[in-house]
Amino acid sequence: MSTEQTVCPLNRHVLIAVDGSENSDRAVAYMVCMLGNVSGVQVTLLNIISIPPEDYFHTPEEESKWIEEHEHASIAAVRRHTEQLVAGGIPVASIAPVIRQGRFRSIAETILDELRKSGAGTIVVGRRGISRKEEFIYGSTSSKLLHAIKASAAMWVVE
Amino acid sequence: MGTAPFSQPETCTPERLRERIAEHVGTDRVPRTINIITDTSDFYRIDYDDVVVLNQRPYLIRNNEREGRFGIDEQQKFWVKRAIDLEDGSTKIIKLTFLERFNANVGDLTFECYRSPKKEARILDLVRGNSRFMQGLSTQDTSGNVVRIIDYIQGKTLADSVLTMGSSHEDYFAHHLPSVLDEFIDLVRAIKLLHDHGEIHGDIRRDHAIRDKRSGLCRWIDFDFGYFHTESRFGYDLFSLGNILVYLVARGDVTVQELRKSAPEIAAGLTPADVNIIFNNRLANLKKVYPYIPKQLNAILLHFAAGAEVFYEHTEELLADLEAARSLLAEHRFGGLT
Repeated sequence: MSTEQTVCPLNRHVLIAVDGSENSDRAVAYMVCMLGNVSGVQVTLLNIISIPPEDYFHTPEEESKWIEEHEHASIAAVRRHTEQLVAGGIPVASIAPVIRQGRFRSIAETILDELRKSGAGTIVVGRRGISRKEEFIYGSTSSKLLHAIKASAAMWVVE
Repeated sequence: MGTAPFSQPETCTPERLRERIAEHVGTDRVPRTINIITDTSDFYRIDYDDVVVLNQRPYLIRNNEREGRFGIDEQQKFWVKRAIDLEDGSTKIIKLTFLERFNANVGDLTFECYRSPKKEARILDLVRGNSRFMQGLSTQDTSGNVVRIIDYIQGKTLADSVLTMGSSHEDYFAHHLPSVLDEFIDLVRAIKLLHDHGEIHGDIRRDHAIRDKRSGLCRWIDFDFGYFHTESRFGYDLFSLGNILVYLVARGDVTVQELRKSAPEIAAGLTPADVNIIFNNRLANLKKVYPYIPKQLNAILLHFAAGAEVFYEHTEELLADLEAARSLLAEHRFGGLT
């Protein structure tokens, strides 16, 4: 266990990782409930497009189409969550949408990488309850984050 | 991966091929007309006695391979042909390009898998010369299809080979399991090699490790499957290794149904935590049936049980535990277990 302690961040900068799902809706709603209309709140709204391995695609054209479709979905998700935040009292100027796209080893690692870059002191993620067997086979981003985050930031997991 | 544009080599003229076929299968088996194939795209039309020329080397096609997992309901794999290499007479497995994506059902979980010839070609290059993997090379046909030419492995599957070991489980445990475990540890090391290079096996099954009659060593086969689980890249490979381990330690599957019939008093003492995390009819906590299994070895099996608190994420974790348990097993054995 780390002996370091998470310090209260001087900024009120929160990174919310969203994927356009209902879990993300709940995470954003929770954040709005906690920090909407609080002055000085900054939000990094992160969406990750995790491209499958090259082997997955039969042709380069198929891969391009897959990426294009996911880019559209990603933009739509970020736009929708931005509207949610604005409606909840976070000024649009305080929201920084970030879309990261690539072949990532791990979504959790990519979120942590973005956390470091953004300087945010809190991560917010939505989680659907998954079974132990699903966690074994598919893995769990929120569990991995909880193990890896240590003292670098606080984390809210919204179920 | 080697590629070679096709030009009719002198060694592949019909006359020369007839001579070669006669040499390897007998003069009476030479087909009247020889169908020479250089584009394997339509693999359904590649049939018995056809000659597929790859990289200027002729292969006489015999039968389609079959998916023979449980010996029933065997399906022909039209894209996998057994063939004779007409240059040296050796038997080869020719795997033609068949691209597919499908949902795999593992217990009540479903996830998307894909078949990739390129992945298998890459791994064949990676494991060249490694006695724990099938051997072969890949090339492209005249249409650019990635074809893998695999050395045929004669032998039993690892699973079948343990079934006949020992006069009883106790005898198997005392006299055979240590060497079986040594072999399994080496097979896990082989999978670690793949993982260390960012590759997955993708389809680890007990019938995908075959004991090569020539070397006596088990080799992993079939690396063309892939899955895409970003947060648990090696999870399914590890789960599959666990299933094999439980099978090897038990010398077969121990099912709850069988236990209810054969040992109702043991079955009555089982809890939901004791069974395989996904295949709930199979017992993972084998110590409940075979109390002489050491705690350390059983603890590894419990990582694959429904009651598992922690999972293996990387092969090195499983390997470290296996090696420790194996050394204790040796002490156990020589300390007069039975």
